[in-house]
Amino acid sequence: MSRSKVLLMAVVLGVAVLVSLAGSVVLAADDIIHLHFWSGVPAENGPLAAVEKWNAMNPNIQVTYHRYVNNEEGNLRVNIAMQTGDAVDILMSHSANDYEQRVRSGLLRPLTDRLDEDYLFEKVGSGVLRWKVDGVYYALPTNVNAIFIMVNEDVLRDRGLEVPEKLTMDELRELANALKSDEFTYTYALDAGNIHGVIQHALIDVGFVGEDGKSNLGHPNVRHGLETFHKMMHEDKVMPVLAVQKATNMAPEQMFLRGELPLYQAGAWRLRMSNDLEQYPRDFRIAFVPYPYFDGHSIPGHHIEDAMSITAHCQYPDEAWEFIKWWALEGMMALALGGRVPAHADAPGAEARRLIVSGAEQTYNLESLNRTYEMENTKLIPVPPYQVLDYINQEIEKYFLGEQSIDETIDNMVEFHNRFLERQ
Amino acid sequence: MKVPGRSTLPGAPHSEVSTVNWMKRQQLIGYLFVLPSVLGVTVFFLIPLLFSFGLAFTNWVGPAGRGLRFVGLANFQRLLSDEVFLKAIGNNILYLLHVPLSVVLGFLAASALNRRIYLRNPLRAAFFLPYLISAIAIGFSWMLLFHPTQGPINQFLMSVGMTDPPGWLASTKSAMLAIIIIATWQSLGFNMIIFLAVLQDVPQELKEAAQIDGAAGWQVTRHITLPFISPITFFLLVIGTMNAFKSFGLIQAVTGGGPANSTLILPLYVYRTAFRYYEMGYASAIAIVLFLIIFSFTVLQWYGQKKWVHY
Repeated sequence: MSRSKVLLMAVVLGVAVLVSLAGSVVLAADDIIHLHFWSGVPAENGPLAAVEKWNAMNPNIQVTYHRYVNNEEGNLRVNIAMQTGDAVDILMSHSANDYEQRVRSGLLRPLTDRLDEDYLFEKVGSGVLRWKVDGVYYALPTNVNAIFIMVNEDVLRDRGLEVPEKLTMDELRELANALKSDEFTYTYALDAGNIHGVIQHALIDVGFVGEDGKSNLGHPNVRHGLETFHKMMHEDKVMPVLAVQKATNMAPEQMFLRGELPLYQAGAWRLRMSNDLEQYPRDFRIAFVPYPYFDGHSIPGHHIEDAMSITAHCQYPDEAWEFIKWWALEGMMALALGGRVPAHADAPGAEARRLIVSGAEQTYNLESLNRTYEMENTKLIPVPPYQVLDYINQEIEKYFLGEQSIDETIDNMVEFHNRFLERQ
Repeated sequence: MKVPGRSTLPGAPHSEVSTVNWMKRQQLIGYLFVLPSVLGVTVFFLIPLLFSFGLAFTNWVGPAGRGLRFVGLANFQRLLSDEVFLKAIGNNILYLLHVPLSVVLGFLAASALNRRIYLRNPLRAAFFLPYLISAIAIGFSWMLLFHPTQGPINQFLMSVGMTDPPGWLASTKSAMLAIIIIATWQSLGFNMIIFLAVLQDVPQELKEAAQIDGAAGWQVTRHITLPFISPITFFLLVIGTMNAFKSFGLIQAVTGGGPANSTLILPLYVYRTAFRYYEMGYASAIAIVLFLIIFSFTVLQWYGQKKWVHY
């Protein structure tokens, strides 16, 4: 090959490299501020409409909505985007564990100059404490994610029973047994991925870690909760065995809406399905009961979630904060049809609660639904780190399968948790 | 310096000095051609690999690893008391069983389909099809088959008198067996295709000579066919073992490592530790141990081949 051809090839290679590098440089030609907002809510479930409304009202601050799937891969993707300084200005975190990881990695801005705790407690409630890391808030939670047991009210009436205002664990078991009949394979179920919630509810008033810095997994409520579920699975046979439910991909929400399961422990995220009477036709009314609680302890309160943060790389934090405030007060209304109720006291929460059942109001016992939103003496459930959560799931799976005793289960969980705490 | 045949090539130099310059230019051109590939392998493979080795001796936690410091062998010491890690190693070794199983079954299928039989080509395609299907689709299909009460497998077992059939994916005792069955079924077709190709090359005259001398069918297979295909058998065992230790998609789709970590294998544990717990340092230590295990198995197989592989 001649020298000129070699030179030509080198020039072409160099230009190719330069062009690919230059492609990442964006030359702004106007004064419009562009913000990128990431959240785990599907765009068609309200966020896109809300963003479009903001963009119409604020031509100088244009927001682009990006959806990430709220699972490991999706959260990893958004974390990498933030680490590389990619276009993430406003981020909605859905899990306290992922949020804390982001805070400790310096990916989110502290909001100490924009929020104070008194304001948050007054406007959002004590549920904001979940989003406090080392005494600082890095996010404004925007959504009341209601949790409740969905009840087939017609089945209750047939048995001569009233919709309970609240239930202890023992009363839940009694009710599930009272509804037993040949008509139902099971009378009570919850999403398999949430079964560890019984331990979170058990420790609602004491938390996972005691004042001595040791694990509280040996608390009597934990034993009581696990034993109650075990009896419901194996003695009463009113609840599916956990491993069977997982291995068969059993969908309790589908069973409930088909009238095959009278009690389904879920939350507002299922209202989107139950509102859709075309895809899920039903002829029974749905009533709502708060999650079961342990006698003498607080009732599990609704989750205060969808925490919006300004990322560390955001070049327009003031504008991002304006968007976040607007979202908390007005933008959230576009998501009401998907079961999301604004957490901020100044937002039209009552209107949102009307919207979350819109189109199917006559099929719900609205009085019981409102009761769950207005319940007092509730508390937010504690959330352990993923490592502890996964170990708990492993041990309770073995217990529910009958492969180890309750004592072994609790001893193993306590030992693992204490070892984990020592490493922190 | 004269290069034999050089003077006949177009553009070739005719003097010694110009020959040396020409060769240097040719080398430069060669390097330029491979440069993109080398850069890609270095940036996307070698550097991350070395970085990962280094990470294993640090306490990197969280997406951005704040507060990073050198901790020596602490991560490796933690592995020794990590019951989940030890369980994952045991599960991985158990999972290896599907490799010789699929090799043996692949050979048997290839032997059968190497003959002139009715529907030979559609059968070959049917055997190979599972290898082409995604792990997710396979996983969901087998979950239905393995349903503890309504699945056809247990329905059949109960119909032939078994009163307490296995729970399959719903039981810690049988979940790994179910995964081994699925993995064997999926990889059998690939092994079959490879064996089919090699079986075509087995010299017919050797087999005929053996038959003339009175050798039975099994003796021909044992003394002629199997030694002849031993190199490819060795290849399939080595590749299969490496893949078994790197397997992720199938188990993640079917059980996620459950129930109760009874199907958790090392690659899944590395993924969980790195991308769910964000303990990158510890995950890197697990990855190094995984690398050493794969390396050891490969070395063992390599030395073992002297006993049974015939080239």
